Amino acid sequence: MSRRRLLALATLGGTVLLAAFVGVVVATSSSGDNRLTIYTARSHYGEEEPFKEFARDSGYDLTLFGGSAPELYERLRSEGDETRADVLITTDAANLWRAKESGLLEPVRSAALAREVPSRYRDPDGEWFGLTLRARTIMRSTKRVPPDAVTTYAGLGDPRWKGRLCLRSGTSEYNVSFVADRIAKDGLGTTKAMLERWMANDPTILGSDTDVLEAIAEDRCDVGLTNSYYLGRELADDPDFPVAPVWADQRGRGTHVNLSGFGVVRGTDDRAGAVRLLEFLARPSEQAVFARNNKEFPVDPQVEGSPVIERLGDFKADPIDVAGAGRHLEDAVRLMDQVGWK
Amino acid sequence: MSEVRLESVAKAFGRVRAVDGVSLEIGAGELVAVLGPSGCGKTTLLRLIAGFERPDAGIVRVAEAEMAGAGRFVPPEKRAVGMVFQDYALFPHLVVAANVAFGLARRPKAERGALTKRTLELVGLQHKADRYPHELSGGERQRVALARALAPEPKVVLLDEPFSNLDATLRAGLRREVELILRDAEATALLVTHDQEEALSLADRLAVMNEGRLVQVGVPEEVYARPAGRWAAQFVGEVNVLSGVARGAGVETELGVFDLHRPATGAVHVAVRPEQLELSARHDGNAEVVEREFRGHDVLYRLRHEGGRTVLVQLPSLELYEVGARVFVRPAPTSVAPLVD
Amino acid sequence: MEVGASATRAAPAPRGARAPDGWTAFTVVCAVLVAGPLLGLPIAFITGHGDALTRFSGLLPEALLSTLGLLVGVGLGALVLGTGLAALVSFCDFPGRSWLEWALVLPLAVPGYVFTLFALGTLPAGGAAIRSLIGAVAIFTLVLYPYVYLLARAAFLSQSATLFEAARGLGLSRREAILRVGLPLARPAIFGGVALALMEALADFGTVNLLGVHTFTDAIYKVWFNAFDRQAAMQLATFLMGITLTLLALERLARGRARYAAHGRALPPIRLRGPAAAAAVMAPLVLLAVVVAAPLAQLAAWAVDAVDDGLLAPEFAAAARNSLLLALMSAVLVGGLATLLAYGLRASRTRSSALAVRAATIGYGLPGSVVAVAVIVPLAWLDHRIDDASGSILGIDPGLLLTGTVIGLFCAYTVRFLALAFQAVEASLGRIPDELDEAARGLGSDRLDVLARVHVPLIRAGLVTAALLVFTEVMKELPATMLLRPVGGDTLAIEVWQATSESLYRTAALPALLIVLVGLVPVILMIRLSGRRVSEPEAAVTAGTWTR
Repeated sequence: MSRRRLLALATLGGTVLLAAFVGVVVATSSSGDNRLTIYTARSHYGEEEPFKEFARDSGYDLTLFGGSAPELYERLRSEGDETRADVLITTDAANLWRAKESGLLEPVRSAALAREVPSRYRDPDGEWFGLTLRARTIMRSTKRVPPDAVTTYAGLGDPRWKGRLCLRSGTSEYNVSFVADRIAKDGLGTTKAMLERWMANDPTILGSDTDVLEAIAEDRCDVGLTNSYYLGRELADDPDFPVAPVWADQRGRGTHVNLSGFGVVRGTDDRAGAVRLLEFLARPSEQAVFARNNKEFPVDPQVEGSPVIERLGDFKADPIDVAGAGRHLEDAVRLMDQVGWK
Repeated sequence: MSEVRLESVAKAFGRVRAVDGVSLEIGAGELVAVLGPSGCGKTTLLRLIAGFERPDAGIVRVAEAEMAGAGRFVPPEKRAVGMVFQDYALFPHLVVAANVAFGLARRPKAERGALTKRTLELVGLQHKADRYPHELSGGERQRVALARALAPEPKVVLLDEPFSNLDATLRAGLRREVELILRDAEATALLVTHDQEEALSLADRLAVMNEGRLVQVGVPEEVYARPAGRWAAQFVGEVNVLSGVARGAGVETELGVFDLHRPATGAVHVAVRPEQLELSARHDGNAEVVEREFRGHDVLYRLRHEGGRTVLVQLPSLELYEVGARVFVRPAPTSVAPLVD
Repeated sequence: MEVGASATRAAPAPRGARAPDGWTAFTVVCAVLVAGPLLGLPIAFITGHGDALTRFSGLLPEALLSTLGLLVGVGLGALVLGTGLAALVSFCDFPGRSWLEWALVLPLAVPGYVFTLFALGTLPAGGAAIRSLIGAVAIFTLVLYPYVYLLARAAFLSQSATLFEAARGLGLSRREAILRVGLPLARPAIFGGVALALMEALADFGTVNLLGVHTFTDAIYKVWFNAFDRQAAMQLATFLMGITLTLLALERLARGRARYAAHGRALPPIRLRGPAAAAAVMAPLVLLAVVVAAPLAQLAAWAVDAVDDGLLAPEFAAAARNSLLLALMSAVLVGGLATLLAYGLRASRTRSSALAVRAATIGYGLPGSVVAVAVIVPLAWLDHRIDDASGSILGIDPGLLLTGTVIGLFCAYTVRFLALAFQAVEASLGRIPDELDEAARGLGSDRLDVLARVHVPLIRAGLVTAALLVFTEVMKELPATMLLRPVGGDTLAIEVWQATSESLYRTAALPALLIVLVGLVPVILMIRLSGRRVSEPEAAVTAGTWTR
């Protein structure tokens, strides 16, 4: 290759590269009026209509940026006030708590939101609001386990379930929040005792809630612990899916209910727009859509949720103590590790 | 082509003084060989002239222009010095013609073509112009390397042990060819080697080098017959170093009396080459043949002299003496010179 | 003709001591920039609470055991499988060998997490059997053996026939000659390949996570994301870095100090007949069916399902575009930097530059998430400084220039993949003896000329290989991309991961399929480039001394 050709090639290559780079940077750094960027951990629930509707009605351009809650959290933390995000949506209350504790959210005063979201499902300081609810409860095989065989969370530790219990991995945020919530409410000792008895049953640890449900359906386990909407999905696919929920602790505090919610990100460029979006999403009609789409419970008890789930019956809910659980998250991780819940 | 002049050039690597104050002049059109053992610094000397090393002291001049010296350093690509490497260093991705034309890139196309053709003809490889180096034999590669160095009409050609990678049988013939090519091109050339036969046969002048210093410089005949010191005597060819007493025109040694090249008196050491001795078979001789090395056209005998020392004698192979034969060794009618050290 | 191989230097030895110069400075600066962020990891020991590790000490033993088990298992597996296959195609001839030879490299296009996806969705009982350390070892072995295979094969092919003839003359059978002469001679290459495979395994998060194997990487994730203790996570990451360094050191030791040059005629292959030939054909075929054909088919079926049922992820087209663009640009950037680095090393040849280069290539063994975190901290700091400064000086608000755009991603990719590109470039650049440079300079070429007319033609293959390797890796990359991608910058790998984490296997199928298909192209091209028996000019350059 002659010297001249090399230089020409290098110059050409460099120019093309620079152009491509500038192009990509420009394309991904859009900002402007009527634009809202939403960091959402709900991204893998598929396309959710309410966002599209809002975009149509309001003329706003919505950019949904997905990821797991911890990743979004990390991102917000490092971006600080320069963040482009306007709204944060999570799938777990603990994440909201963490975001608030880290000063990532802004308080919102909105009569509409206060109306649509019951107070036990929103932050007293107005920094976050629940959108949908999901119960984390006992799942049983309809073929082998009668409805009243196990009715409490502690009951999963009964030796009769030895080798027949399926649990999702201890790294799952839902499990961690669950344990943290119990530590907050029952104390470390009681929770530890319960978990130790669970572990004594040699549970099969699986990677996801769906795997747990399938294991129960395929007779590899008899009972398990999952979020309600996963069962809802299975039932929507196959109404004869042989697994049913047991709403745990009905005679006690009630079934553990976690929430997926949102908040306005501190440093947002368009506070008014963000609040407008939240108010829109919290409308009963939209809550219904969210709930139906993902088989969850709307936060507003008067709103009709997914028929699949509704059919499973009413239950007493024990809403997660967001602040309490948040404070005990680390304890929960350590405890789960101690008892060997991998 | 013009000359090279080295003035007290020195170069050290760490604590090792590879070149230690060397001064040398090479005249235009001259072929000078630097002969020395491995590690004596001869390759470094070459690289200093080519510009691949910077001298620590001294001046390197090529054609009266200072290439390296106090504060000044001309990079190799600007020196117009051609180099033939020991491994030839042919460009494996280029055919022979392209290799040869490599240094001609800045010339106009027509000139490039003509020069390439002429140089290829000079080395006799015009019919292999389109071959790749790996398709050539060792000797052919060497000739391509030479052609490539010669094509840009450099001021000096430097050759780094050019024949050491070749089979012994090829060597002599190629030596002749290369010498002819260089003379045809009227090249000023500096060749470094550890092979004394090569140096002696090719060079117009010979510089013997040891441990960074030039021990002796002169025409091959001079260096061979009149070595400057014991080390030079022993390095350039086989030798018997004898002690003796000089009395004017002759010197008395235990092997007999030799003529002296120039008068001297007193105790001296002289270098006596094996061919400067004669043998005759005598059962009452003064030596016994201990070893015999048959070398085709001559024979090298190792004798044990009655005085105890080992004596090397070289004779034409027409007449052979057996191992164990008793012989009489005496000086041939020839002159020797006293050794300086 | 003199006997071929001797323990010649494959790369020319440095010519004496050189004073540090511009090139050394350059390599050192590169190393500082690339490896510097990784220094932030051990610093967490100073800035963090010292008790971080004791709090999570329960995690460590299992993490250590699992990781070590993984390393040993995958190391052995890839070694045996890769070397065995390489020996088979190099030393034997059987029907179909010429295309099987390159087909065996195809698994490189299948990322571990994609294969795991396939396995979990296809095997009975939700893949319960493979959710274990052994399962992980098996999957990694299947997907990573091509690293060993490629390097071993190249080494075998360049071995001299005369060596084997000498061995046979000393009474060894053909098989013994291969075992006792061929294999040891190829040792440096084989161990190099094993090291690469192990580094890939170490850096993986997706596969082990899906399989429930709790390696070090998993412990780091747990501590970081569940307990939000970044300092402890970084401390754990420092341990992981230590393991990587040990690996690198061991690899260097195993390579030995002699570099085995190659020249001479190629070995005539052993013809296989009958059952041996049948086995020789069937084994690779079965392997390829399991690792490449079956997953592709299953993914395709799922993808069709997904399209039919409208289960596609929303931003699929954008993700595809992003993946391609990012991969392309990274290939050029990282490849270019690797070349500059290789040049810097060659030009300066000082101990500092050699060390600098080693430091710059350490990122490959670390999980992408660790690299991303190490990178995000200084970049975010810089970002805010730049934003503040430009706000107060220029009055404009550029937003987050580094972490908010692809620049942050490129930084992470560079830290992670420089090693790969560098090895590819260095392999060909390092084979060019200094004499060639000097010959060219003696003929009037300045440094740029030498680059253009001597180096570029000879390293072209290495350059392309480097670019292709980076391209494939960036296409597959997951954890760092997750953390550092800008808004609107989702890639196919992100799509796969998000769908998988919700067990939406069918949604994950189409992006996964695309990743594999696109990844196949550079793999095939790379095979083409290195697939022909070592070209003659290259062989000549490879030789430490020219053959007589």
